[in-house]
Amino acid sequence: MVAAHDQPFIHLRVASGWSMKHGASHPIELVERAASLGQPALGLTDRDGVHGAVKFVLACQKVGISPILGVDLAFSGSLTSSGIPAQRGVARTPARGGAFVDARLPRVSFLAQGAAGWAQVCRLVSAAHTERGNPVLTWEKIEEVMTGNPAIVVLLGPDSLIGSALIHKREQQARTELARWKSLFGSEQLRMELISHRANDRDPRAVSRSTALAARMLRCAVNEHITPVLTNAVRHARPEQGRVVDVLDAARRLVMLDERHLDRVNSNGHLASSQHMAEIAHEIADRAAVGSTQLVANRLLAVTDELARSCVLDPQADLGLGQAHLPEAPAGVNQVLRQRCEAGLSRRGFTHGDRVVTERLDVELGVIEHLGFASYFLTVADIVEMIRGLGIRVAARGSGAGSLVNHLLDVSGVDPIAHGLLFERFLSPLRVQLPDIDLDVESARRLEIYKHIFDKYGAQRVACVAMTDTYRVRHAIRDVGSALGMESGEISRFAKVFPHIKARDIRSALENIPELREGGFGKSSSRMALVLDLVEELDGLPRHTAMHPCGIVLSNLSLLDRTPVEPSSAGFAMSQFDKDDVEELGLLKLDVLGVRMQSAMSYALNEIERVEDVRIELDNGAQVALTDEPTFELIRSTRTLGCFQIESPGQRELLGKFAPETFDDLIIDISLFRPGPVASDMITPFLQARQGWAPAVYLHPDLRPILEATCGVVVFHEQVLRIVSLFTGVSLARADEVRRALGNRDNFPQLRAWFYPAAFNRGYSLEVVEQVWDVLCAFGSFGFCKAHAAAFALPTFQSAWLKTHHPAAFLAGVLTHDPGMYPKRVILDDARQLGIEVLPLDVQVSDRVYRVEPVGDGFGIRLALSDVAGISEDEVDRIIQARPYLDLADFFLRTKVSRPVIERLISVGAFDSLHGISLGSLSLGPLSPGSVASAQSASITRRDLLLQLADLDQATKTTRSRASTGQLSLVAAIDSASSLVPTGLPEMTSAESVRAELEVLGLDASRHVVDFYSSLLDRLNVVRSKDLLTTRSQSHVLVAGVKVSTQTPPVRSGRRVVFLTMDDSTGPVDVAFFDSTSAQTLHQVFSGWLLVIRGVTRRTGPKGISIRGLQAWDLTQLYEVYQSEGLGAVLDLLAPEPEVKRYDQRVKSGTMKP
Amino acid sequence: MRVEVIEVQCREGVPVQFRRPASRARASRRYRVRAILGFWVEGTAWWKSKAVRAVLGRESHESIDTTPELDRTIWRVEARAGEQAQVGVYDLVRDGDGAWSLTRAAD
Repeated sequence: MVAAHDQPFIHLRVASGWSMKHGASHPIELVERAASLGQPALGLTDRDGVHGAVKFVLACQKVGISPILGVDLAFSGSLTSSGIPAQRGVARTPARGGAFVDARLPRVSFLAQGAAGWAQVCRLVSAAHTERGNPVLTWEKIEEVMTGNPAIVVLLGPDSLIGSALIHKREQQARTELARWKSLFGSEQLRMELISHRANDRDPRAVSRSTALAARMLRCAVNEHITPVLTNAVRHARPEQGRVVDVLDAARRLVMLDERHLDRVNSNGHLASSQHMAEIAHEIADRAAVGSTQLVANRLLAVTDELARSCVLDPQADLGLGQAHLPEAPAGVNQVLRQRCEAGLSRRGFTHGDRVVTERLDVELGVIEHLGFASYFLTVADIVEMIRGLGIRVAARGSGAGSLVNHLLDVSGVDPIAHGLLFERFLSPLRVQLPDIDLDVESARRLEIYKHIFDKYGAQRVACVAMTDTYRVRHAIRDVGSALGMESGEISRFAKVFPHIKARDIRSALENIPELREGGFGKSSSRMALVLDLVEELDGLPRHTAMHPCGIVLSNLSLLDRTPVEPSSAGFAMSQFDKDDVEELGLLKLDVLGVRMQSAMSYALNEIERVEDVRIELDNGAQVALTDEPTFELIRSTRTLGCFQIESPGQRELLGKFAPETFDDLIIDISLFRPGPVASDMITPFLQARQGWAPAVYLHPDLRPILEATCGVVVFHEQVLRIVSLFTGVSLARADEVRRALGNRDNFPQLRAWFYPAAFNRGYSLEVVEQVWDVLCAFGSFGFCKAHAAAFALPTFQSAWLKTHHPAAFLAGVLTHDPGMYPKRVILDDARQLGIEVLPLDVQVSDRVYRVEPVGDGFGIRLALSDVAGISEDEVDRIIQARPYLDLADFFLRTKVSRPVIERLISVGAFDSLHGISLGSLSLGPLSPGSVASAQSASITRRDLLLQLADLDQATKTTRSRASTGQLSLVAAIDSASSLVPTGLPEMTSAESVRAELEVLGLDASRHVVDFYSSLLDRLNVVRSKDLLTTRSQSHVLVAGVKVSTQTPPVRSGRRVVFLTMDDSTGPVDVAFFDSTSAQTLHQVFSGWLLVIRGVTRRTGPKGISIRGLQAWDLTQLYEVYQSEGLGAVLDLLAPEPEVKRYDQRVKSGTMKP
Repeated sequence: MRVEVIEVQCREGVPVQFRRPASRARASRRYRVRAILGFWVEGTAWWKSKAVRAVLGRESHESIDTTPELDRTIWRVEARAGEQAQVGVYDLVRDGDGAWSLTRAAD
């Protein structure tokens, strides 16, 4: 074969992994391969979208080749009427996959020329995506988009209708089809796309990639005066990735690997060398016989190159990268912003003419004007105002709290001057990068806000941001396993043994995770070698795109020229770009995060207003002062369950040691409780100094003003900025650049070479400079932005304030919106401990949600109907609407709630008040309040109600089955059934009642579940949470409780620690199990609910104690043994295991340190 | 399909002659290629390979040789063994590792 052409070839048709489950290579792989083959440019024409375009362009910039962008779209066009089916095999609907999930529509590609071309590509893609999940272009859609001069080139290849006509040698049809495209785009913008993978033209499955067809298409192009172009329809960078392509085809179609289901015919569809492509051109020319082979081949390569060069895009000029595309600004936007800020001064309580404030404002406004971001701030302020106008709680989060402008615009509630927050950390004149402002809003109303933003700015200017789910190890195993035909049970077993790790880490996981190594999977790795190879190859490839949970982009009318949009599941238009891409594209991204705590607080405020007729403005400093001492007393008491950010066991422990007194302390607390500071033990020196046990250490007196608030420890980014500025004399903005550079160790030598002389010049000694430099280096990865923490501390304080002053309303909000880490039963227990009565479910009063009710002098929380297992929204509605009820029969007749749900309502006592039922007089605790038994109905029990329900249900069924009888006889039948006769059945005991509550509501409402076991626990000398601090370190104890959570944090050593938190009605009990724990015990810990644990205590501080778990038992089983066989039998069961005894002996004999 | 391992001589990548080994029926013979009727590349059904059968537990994994080949090239040629012999059509197959075999002979 002759290959005289040594010119580099430019691939125009390349599908990357962003062609979901179609392309096998990441953009960077393709770009690097093209560069290594000496190809100066590369095209990307992903299927159905441009999701990977920005990442591709950045990869091209990084590697130094020119990007070309386009798209490959499905087309549902004309030729159906003239005989060739446009869709093959659609009628078939196999049980799993196949043609059903992939219609194999004809496809057409488009390449963008310049900014106008990119805009047309974007709009064509949007047009194709009118129906979610089924992107397809039609003539009508194309005509709609292509109103101006076409700046895109249309590639009609073997997969187009023209290609399929020529496969069937129907030249006339091909000409007719071609004519339509000519009339729409003009011959200039059309190309006949030739592809040869040297496939067998006699094989119907492979003919579209044969040289014979390419030659036929070339002849057609010559006859029809259409310029041809040679492409390679690339789906993988390297030839050996062909198997991955096959796996993706099978995964996309949900079928097993088989020729019938695969589009790939051989490995030639990779990013081939220029030499290879020249050979292909030669072979096609030879076969086409339309002139001298050599001349035709060279001409083909030349026109391909010409087209490629005309499609090269400039990332800045054509795609708008690196510039901001903000919403349209009003005239004099900078002046408008200044006026709005000045108007905010008095509202925020600043005195006019305060020099510090005016100077700060001038600096901020100067930077904003210089960067041209005024319309950004006004837009955010408008949106915040709009959200507040809707009566929805909103709080800014992030470094934006460091801006006085944001504070004056009411975007951020924290005064940056009072709390020492720096603007430079947020926005720097040295970096033209759109700042990030995140808004926390009520989670329950987030989509409502989306809708209003779309309405306010218009669908032309707003889109949600995409988020792409990529292959990780489990999905990769599932798709590879299914494609290869592994048995589904085995796939699941194999997939589930892996933690959620990257697919490329599968081999190291097999070696390093003990469970995998010992579980026999390591051994199977040689059998699974091929699976492991393929799983690694799938690593990180996009699988699926969905709406980002909070990102929205806002721009001007050019938005849809810069990004295609597709419908998201929530119905909002979604950009095909993710959050990093839109940032690169200079689009204003606003994160609107749904925060359940905001919903919970909003709910609490409404409940307070409903019950007490007071409207509290939580964000108003005059009503809710950030200095409120009772709130800090609550925080210091560590009874912070339900409070934002400070409710976890670890945080409560820190609160106990730290004892925050001010809002600034709260900011410090939140900043300290993060993995970095905890791991590097920054906390200890701080607490030592804070408690006055050790003096605060300042490396130099000049550092005292900067570090005083944190007792000499560097906690905040802001402090780093000030230290760098102090020691080198640079501006804070420059200091922030230094701080960023400190994040990467590679920069250390260079920074050090700059820092030392600068600091010497400022008169600092070598010793001080060295020490400060070490602090800065160490701090790099651990510091926290104080503005971030301050923004977080605000809802933290507000939630604690509500819990302090309105605990019932606050906890009702927490129960209704479930913002935190604890199950409802723990929150209810907390309520009980705070003296709030937990009111039972009652069909007469319970609402859909948890309500506050006045009880005596205080308040109670009424349980919610929506927590009843199996109850539907409609049933809740009907129960609420048809109130009040006369009796069960009345309820049954009018609400038409299903029988099982009524049974559950009865068993948890929702009809008790209606029927004057009070729980039996068994010894287990007081009667439920408000249910005073009247003499008349004293003998009616819940069991009687259940019997009556059965009668009512039976009567209805019989009546209905006799069609002739009418409504009257139904009433009569009900009447006869509704005579409620006490049967003398014993009432449920409190224990049974609590069990029913747990079953039906998932929580123990009337009593704490552990209470029923008190007698046994007391006799076993089980230590209660409240008494744990009185035990000595290293003593063997039994503890018990209901499981709240188990956590298995990843440990670098590979050793596993299981943390168990229980609740024993007096407080939490935390137990740690190390990897010497027996499998049986671990099983008990994971599967059990009510547990008894044997462990060894260890004191960790004046208020801290931890337990190392040794053995675990199921409390309910012990209780059964206790009831049937007595205490002795239980004690036998609890006898320490031999292992534990040995351990004790070793400790005693001194051979092992405890 | 009967597969014979053969020796092939190529010029510029194109087969010009091949030798079929001796069999019970006849002695070893050399064939001269007169014309190339076709040339194409086929993907192999790698999912039927030993490596995949091992994954499925249908083959001991000790017997897995190498990663399965992905492609093979097929040359359909017109050839004959000597000036007097009949002209036949032969499919010469070159595996990814360069080994040749004869998969079809119509002579």
